[in-house]
Amino acid sequence: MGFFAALLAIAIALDGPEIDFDTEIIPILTRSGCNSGACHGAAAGRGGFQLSLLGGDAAADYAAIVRQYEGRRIHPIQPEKSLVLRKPTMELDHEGGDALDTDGAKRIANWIRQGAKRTKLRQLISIDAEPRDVLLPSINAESALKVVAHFDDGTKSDVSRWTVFSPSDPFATSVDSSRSVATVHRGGQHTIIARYLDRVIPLRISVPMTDEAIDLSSEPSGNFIDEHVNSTLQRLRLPVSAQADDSTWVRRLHLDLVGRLPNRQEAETFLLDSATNKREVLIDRLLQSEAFVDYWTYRFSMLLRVFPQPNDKVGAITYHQWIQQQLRDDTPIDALARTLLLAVGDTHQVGAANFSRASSDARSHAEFVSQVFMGTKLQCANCHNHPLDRWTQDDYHGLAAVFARIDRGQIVKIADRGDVTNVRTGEPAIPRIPGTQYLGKDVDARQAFADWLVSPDNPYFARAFVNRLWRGMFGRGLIEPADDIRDTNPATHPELLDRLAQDFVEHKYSLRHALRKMATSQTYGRSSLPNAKNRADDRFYSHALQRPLEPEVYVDALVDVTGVFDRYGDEELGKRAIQLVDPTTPSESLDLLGRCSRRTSCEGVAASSALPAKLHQLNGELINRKVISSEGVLENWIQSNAKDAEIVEDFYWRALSRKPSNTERDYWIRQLSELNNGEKKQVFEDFLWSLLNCSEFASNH
Amino acid sequence: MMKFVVVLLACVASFYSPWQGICHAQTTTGAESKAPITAVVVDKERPVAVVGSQSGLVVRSLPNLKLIQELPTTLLSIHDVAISPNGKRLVAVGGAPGESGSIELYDWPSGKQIKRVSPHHDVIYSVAWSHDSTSFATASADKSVQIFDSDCQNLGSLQGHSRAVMAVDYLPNDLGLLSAGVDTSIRYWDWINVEPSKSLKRTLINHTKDIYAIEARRNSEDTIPVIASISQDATVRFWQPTIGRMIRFVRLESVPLDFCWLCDGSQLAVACQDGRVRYIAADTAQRVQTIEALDGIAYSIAPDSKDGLLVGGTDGHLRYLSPRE
Repeated sequence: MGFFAALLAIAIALDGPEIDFDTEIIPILTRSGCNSGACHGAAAGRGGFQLSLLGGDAAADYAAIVRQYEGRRIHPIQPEKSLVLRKPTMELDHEGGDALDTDGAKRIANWIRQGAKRTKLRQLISIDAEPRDVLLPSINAESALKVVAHFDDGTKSDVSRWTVFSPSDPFATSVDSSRSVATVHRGGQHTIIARYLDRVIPLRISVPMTDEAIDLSSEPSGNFIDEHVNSTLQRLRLPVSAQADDSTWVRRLHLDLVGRLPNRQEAETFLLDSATNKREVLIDRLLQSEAFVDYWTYRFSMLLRVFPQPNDKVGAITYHQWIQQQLRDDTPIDALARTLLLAVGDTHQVGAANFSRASSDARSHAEFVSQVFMGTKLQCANCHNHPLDRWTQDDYHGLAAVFARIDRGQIVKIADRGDVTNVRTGEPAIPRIPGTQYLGKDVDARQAFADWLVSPDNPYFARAFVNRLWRGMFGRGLIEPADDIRDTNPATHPELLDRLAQDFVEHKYSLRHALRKMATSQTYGRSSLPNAKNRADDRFYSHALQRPLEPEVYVDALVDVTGVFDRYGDEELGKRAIQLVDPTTPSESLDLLGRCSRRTSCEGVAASSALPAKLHQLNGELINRKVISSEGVLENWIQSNAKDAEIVEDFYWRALSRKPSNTERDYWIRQLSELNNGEKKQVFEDFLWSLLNCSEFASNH
Repeated sequence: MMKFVVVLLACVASFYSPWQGICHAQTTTGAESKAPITAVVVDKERPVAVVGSQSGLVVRSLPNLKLIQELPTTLLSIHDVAISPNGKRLVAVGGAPGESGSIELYDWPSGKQIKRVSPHHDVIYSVAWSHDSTSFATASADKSVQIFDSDCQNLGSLQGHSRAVMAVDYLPNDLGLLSAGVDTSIRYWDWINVEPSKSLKRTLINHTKDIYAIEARRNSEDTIPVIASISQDATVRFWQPTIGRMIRFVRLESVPLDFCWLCDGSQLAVACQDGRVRYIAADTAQRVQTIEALDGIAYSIAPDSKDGLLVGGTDGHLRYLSPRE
């Protein structure tokens, strides 16, 4: 028997080496776009033919191609008559067009001729890709791309021909697939994702953004942040803007650390201070203030989804107070995360237990946890292996299984039983640490996950957190969006992100330490005014990014400037918007400006610039009521018979943390002169309205 | 020359098949060894079977499965074969996927081809004769069911399925037609008494995935007709289609791909993806017995007149299972 089988194998071998379905056919389908989301990789397939998205499930693809509907799609006797070839070569009408090139068709035909087997000859171990990081001299320069695959049988193979190269910005870079060559069409730092089977490698290709080389070696450096940022700027030939003046910086720092404008006295005092370390002193003072606790409680409330359950506000208040206390105590963030993950008990008494009530079931709990603590969006892997990341369906449902036994009533507890069905297998999912290992029945799955998550070696936790803080301080994450960390969405400054994460771990996950590090950098202190050569920079920090205020911060700032309070539902008058526990507390202004509902996690929400919000700012009660109020600061000034210039200057300090320029002051004095009292009041109202509607007020710059 | 060597070696290898001598099993030989057997039917009057695959259409003896005759065919794929109840006609259906669905009509048992027509726009997956042998119906991937007389003259078309139709059968006593398919529905058509456009009487929708086969129970004393269906959802379901009722169902460990009623209508024999045949009691929906049939997928199954079963599957595997004691 063995002798004849050997002879048979030899005879077949004469038709060429056996073609491996998993590593040689699937890449053809991916490269040809057959298994993309727009084609047969869609959740419902297309034209009655469904493939796994980007070839994530080779077994299912094999079944669909070879077995489904009694082998409809292949013809082992006449391979060239196979539907799987006739359609994508347009021999038969095909909505996807002429998708399959000659080489691909030939290989598929040979595979069918060999018996259309799936013998799993080898498994992919890893891929190498070149160039990982290259600086090209000029626009329209080309770079050859090469991908080598390493298999478990010890072989390696140049698979560039079957690799999908996807530019993250198709207008900036293009790839000639037939030659595996990239061309850059715009200056800057660009990414091309090389995908072979389920492995992806980001390739960074840069072209200087200006013609002249620059030298930033003499730029002052506050800490390692500046070294990393300046290194990238020098590479891209981006000159830096000057340091922001004190009034701009003090306003920026207050908004970033305490979410409010500095009052006039605070701003003036800072400007008059001649100490060389006054910026560090102010940073430390703000970090230790109760206003810092309030503002970062607000930010954490958006992230950790503090909202009341139906007919139960007590839990949300307890949760809010618990977060506030952790921030006041500077609780290490790893300890905070662990407590949230493991907390059980009465949510009216145990604030952290409300974390588990923020999700309705185990799956949404897993998505919530991965987003908040790992900075990843796992939900794609519910229905199929994640197309842009490493996560599999087993990872998704396995993590959901970790939280399957949580009883999410007012008293959060761990039930005796509870399963999550893995939709891929139809069986109860086995608890699993995503991308790592399954957890045994004897293991406390939540404890094991928490241990893994906050371990210093964890590749996600610290990076996700410092990236989130960076976004808060600089207006843009090193990885953006901040909750979408994955290989196919690389950081603008990967080494800097790693260094920040390392520093965060080394300093016991201290929020204040991380923020201080960022605030004391020269990069943070740069002006937002671009120069002629760095105007196009929107992500390398040659100048500060101007960004709209958050809805609550903006509304609070209006109150601070005008002295007219808003009333939020039944809350006491004078309560600041950032202190609201309930995101549904009635407030038309906050609704129109787009506050975070907290049903999903928000990474800091900019006030809406949509038309309803803008009209509300221009014509609505939000500003007009405060401007004309008889109880406001303006009315007090008018009644005080103060000089016009004094009133103008005070409001500039209140709104913009600076004196008016001579031009500005002269303009307003001219407008106000020779008017009777009634007319003057109206012009002062116009003046204040203008101030509150200018972008300098409405932004952190 | 190379093909000859391969065929020769395969023939010799098949002589040493592990199925040899077990329960009258035998692997087939020749080019069929590459293509799955997707259509089988046993002549109830004679000890022969017709076997269809992408390799062609052949007649084999039972129980030893010796090749008796190769029937002429131009069908690229063959998905079903059926012998008329009067034993005078054989119809084979299939076609070219994505292109056409064809019917080949043979005089039986001579095997002489009488007619070939291509009325569908995609392959035909199923064919069923009426009890009086005067007509047959076809179910196609082009979403339609068509009805023909015994000379292949088209009598009408039933439209309504939203996706490929995988199965068709007649109800006993001229009560109408049934069809089912990828849209997961079973449709009951009163084709006999009403014009085609108005003939849809009921739609049965308990299956959750593609339905692969349906067949009415015959030789029983049902006052209300009973049918069975199998689906990719791994269930076998029993229905009374004329009153729109699902009676019972059973979930299997493996996806069923084809089935047949045993002679007395008491049980089903279900061919499954894991190569096993599972016997299901119709009145209780309980598994009665499971038999290892093929080393691979069992795509097709057909009974003989004594409840022996012919099972066809992957790589041209064909096995005859003797009647159980």
